[in-house]
Amino acid sequence: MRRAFSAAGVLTSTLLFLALFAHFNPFGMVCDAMDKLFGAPPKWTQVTNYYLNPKTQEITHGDDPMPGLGILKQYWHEHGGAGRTIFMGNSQMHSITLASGELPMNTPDKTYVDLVMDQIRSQNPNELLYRLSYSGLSYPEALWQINYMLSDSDLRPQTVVLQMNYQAFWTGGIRDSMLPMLSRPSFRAQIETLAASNRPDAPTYVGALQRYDQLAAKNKSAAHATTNPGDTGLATIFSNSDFTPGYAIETRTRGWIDQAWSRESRDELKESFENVLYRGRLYLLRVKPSTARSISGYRLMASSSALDSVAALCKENNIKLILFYAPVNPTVSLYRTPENRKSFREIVEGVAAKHGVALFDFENSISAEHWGRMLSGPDPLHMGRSAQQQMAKQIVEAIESVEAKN
Amino acid sequence: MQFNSYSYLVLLFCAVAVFWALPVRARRWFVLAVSVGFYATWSPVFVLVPIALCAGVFVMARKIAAGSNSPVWYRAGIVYALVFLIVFRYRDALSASLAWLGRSFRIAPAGTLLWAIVPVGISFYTFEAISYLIDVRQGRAKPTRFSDLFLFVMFWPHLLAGPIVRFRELAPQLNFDKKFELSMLISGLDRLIWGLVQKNLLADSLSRFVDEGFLAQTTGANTSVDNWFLAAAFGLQIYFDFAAYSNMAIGAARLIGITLPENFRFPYFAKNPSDFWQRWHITLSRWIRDYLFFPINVRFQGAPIPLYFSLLGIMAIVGLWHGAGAGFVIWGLLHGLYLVTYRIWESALQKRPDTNPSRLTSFLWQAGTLVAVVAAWVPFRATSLRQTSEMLRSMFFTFSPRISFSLDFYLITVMVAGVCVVEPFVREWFARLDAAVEHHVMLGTANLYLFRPVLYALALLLFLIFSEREVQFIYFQF
Repeated sequence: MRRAFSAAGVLTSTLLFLALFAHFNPFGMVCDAMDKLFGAPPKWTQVTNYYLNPKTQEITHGDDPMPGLGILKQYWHEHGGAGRTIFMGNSQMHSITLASGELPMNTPDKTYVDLVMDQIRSQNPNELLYRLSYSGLSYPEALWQINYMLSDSDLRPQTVVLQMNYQAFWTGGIRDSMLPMLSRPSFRAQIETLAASNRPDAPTYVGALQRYDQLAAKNKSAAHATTNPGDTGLATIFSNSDFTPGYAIETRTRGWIDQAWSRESRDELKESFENVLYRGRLYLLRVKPSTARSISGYRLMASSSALDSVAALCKENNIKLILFYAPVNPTVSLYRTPENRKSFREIVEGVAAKHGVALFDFENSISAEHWGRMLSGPDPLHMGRSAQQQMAKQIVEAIESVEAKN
Repeated sequence: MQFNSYSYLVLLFCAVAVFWALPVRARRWFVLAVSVGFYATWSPVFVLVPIALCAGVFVMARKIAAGSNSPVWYRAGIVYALVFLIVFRYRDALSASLAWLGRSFRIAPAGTLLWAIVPVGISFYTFEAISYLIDVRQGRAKPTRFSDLFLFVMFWPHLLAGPIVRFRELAPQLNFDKKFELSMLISGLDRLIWGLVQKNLLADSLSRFVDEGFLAQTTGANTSVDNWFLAAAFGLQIYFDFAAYSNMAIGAARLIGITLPENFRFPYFAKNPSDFWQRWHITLSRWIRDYLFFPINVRFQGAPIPLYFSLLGIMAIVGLWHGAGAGFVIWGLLHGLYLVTYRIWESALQKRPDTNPSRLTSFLWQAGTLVAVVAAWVPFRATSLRQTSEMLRSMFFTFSPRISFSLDFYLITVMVAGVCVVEPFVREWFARLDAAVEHHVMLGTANLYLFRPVLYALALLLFLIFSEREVQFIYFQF
């Protein structure tokens, strides 16, 4: 009996610590301690109070774009005849890191895309503009997104302003949150065509289709299990041949766990743990987002190919495509060698020339004092408040110059 | 139901609690019911497969034991068990071969052959059933009751992906008459929870990168550094994935007082190719050694050339055991080649009795084994022979210091490799800690109710936040 009590003690103690950890988030504490130890800038330099408007912005930054696209569809549908412009890019379009001398404001901060919209609307109130920026957007994702918008007449843009970023060439793949777009048959058919091609980015779409099909099959099983809440589970398990009984049991168990411990708080813990690893990378290994890198191989081939397809698709559908090199903090060099920069620019310029696309160069347009500081050094990509205004001015001028040419 | 699923963990602890509450004579029936129920969570229909296998093997074993020296029943039993493996495991290759034969002789194909799904774990429990037959034939095991044989095969911790157990080492434990000890719980939890970390945090963190890196259309663009990293990443992924399963199996068995054999002993620390196979998938290696290699070696009376050829052939079979793919066979043959090379060197060394290998020679063997083992993972994982040759050519005959994938891939691979390096030292440290606090009341209590629970809770927390949906173990497909 004593042994049984000891065993129960070990298990109870484990569960108690588990509850404590879940409540107090030890990973968050480790992150704060690391920041303090390595002298990170204060948290308020990373702006959190942003201007939000789901009619002009994808406010989840790629985490859950479908509801936002639904709102956009309805809004654009109601304003049928107006001009439609989409701004696509990565977190630079939706983040502000305060520069030296800049302080947090009580009113929400606007990013340069919001400021561009304000300026364009002040001249033409009927113009419809939308910021579709996803953190770490890859070019296969940009192609995916444009294809999706073309598959729905209410979402069809007339102009796409696409950010060119060396870092975006490092990323690849289609994020899970974009997979539900495949539920639209006409869009799925387009992606299947891309997947069946011999282009280097084709495997990205093959993988995405496979993941979506697996996810759809699992959701179907989960839906089946949850539509019969009254039964014990066994009837459900043995009446559906689409899934294994183990899968149904697991779905129910996860349902109970979700009720007991919300997914949001688990995601928060997960993010904190990933932040610990990220900080370890920054502070201990000294590998920063600004560490110079080379790109070659698969990622380069896939990104170049997707970018080329974006330009071809826009041309084919009479969509005006405007490319611009994203500004980079001049105190940071993202290229490991001068050849890296040269080959990146050759690819972008090659695509622009091949498809007759306007290309603007803002790479060195924002001086060093307008950039903020990240955890362990100068922020390579995210600008301060005054830089947002400078950038907005440049973008408006670029759009106007393209309009003037036409 | 996967070992790395929430439901498994919940049901496991419920089952363990009920097990210890039951009287000893009821326990074996309870474990049998749990095992059958566990297998049925994959497919209730496929429970019939191990039942049919055990029924046939049970009858054959009785006949073997009752009969004279005639090998008829013994051979029939082996063929019977192998039919299960061939029909279910190699049906795709079989269908393709029959279709090819049909086309060659202009016979119309007869439609899809057999079933579309392979009963999970069939390669493992078929080998266990065969070992039982061989042991009965050789007098090392006595024919038993059907329920004993069925429980031996169906015992849930080893049912799906090993360790491949022998009847004579598991059967004596299956009366479940041990008294509960706290050490069973602690050693069981240690293994179970370390298995969860190995699977969810280490193996699965590499899978996305490995899958992307081995895309058939793009490997031509990978640099030599990329390919070495990819091969190493897959080597680490498959090690942590399979070791995770084995640890969770051993841990679950320990919770009810059963000791299963070890399946891994830090294989990437192997000193030579022969040592590698005493550390990697140990229970398959010893099965092959005892039931294939030794009998063949006895027949050849140690003659070197036939021995070398038999080694190559046996390793090709080990490759084939994983599936009917050319990549698996090449992987097996490469390991066969490594073993033959090491044997030749070893026999040359034995001819000079007073010569011990120098430190440099030992180091070269150890480093060379690691490189050779990593390179051999390429055909195992590659999607085609063309991809295998492209990658190996780039790894050995070209050098480019550039990298193509996201930096995370290289960092995570190095980090996981780091865990692989420190793993034996951490395990040793835990063993020392347990020994040190054994007779110290305060420290022992702190270890039991504070230190261990904190570690378990942290690992469970990571499991709960990272397990989006259970990812299948790689070895489930073999």
